[in-house]
Amino acid sequence: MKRALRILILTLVLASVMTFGSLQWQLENFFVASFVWFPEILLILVIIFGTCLVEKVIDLLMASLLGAVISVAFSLLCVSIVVNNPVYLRFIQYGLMKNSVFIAFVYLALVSAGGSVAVMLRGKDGYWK
Amino acid sequence: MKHLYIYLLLMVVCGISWLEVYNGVKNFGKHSEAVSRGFLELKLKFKEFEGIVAVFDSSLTAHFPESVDVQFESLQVSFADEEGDYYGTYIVNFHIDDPSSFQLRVSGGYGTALRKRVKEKDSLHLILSGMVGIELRTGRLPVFITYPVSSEVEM
Repeated sequence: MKRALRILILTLVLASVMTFGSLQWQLENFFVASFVWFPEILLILVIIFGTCLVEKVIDLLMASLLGAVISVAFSLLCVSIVVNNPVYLRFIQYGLMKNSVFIAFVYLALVSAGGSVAVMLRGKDGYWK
Repeated sequence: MKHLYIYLLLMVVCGISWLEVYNGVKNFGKHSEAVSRGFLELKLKFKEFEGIVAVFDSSLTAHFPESVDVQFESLQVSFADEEGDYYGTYIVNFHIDDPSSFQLRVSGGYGTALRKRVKEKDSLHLILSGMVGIELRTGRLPVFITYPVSSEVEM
């Protein structure tokens, strides 16, 4: 139960950061963050510290895969909520979906590789072993 | 205790992410509303023939929500009459011309054809259609978009 809860928390955090990254890269002109690599810095923070929550690499891989899938859904949902015009929404949805999947895939690869190394370096029980 | 700090950090990261998403998406919503509801009005009035050149006094007005800053870039417009005769496509650069008052000039072979047609028919109904390039500033950076415009003018 505790293990599942930790995976869920990590999934939600990863989904949030991935959604931020995905939308910022796609709607760059509308995001006020002054530094474009800000989502990636947050993602690295999650890889370093968030992976302390999981003890097994498979848990991390599950969380990152779920996070990537949810981030695509979140990205589409956020844009769908704010765009009231159905024609304009239809116009942007396809491109948004395609790019979100691509960005989510890149983030998935990054988190899987970096997170797996972080989890393995720490060992099963310790934090910085 | 270490886990508590980690949870705290993750909460902060999550909060920052959603705050940024909220702000960015809100700006995008404003932009999409402007794109959906805004329109451009092209007004033309025939002034005179200068030789074979037909001169039209023109103005372009943007009707967008007040919070949206609109910068005109260019206009590309084609002239045709009701019978489908074509009188050329013309480009106006709004870095040089003022969008609130500029002149469109149908010249050359098209000007000659237009003058001939007006003489034949006494009056002529011209239909214009084209694209306007504008920059909309609704977020951090302006976004360039093209907008369709159409208008009619009696000669």
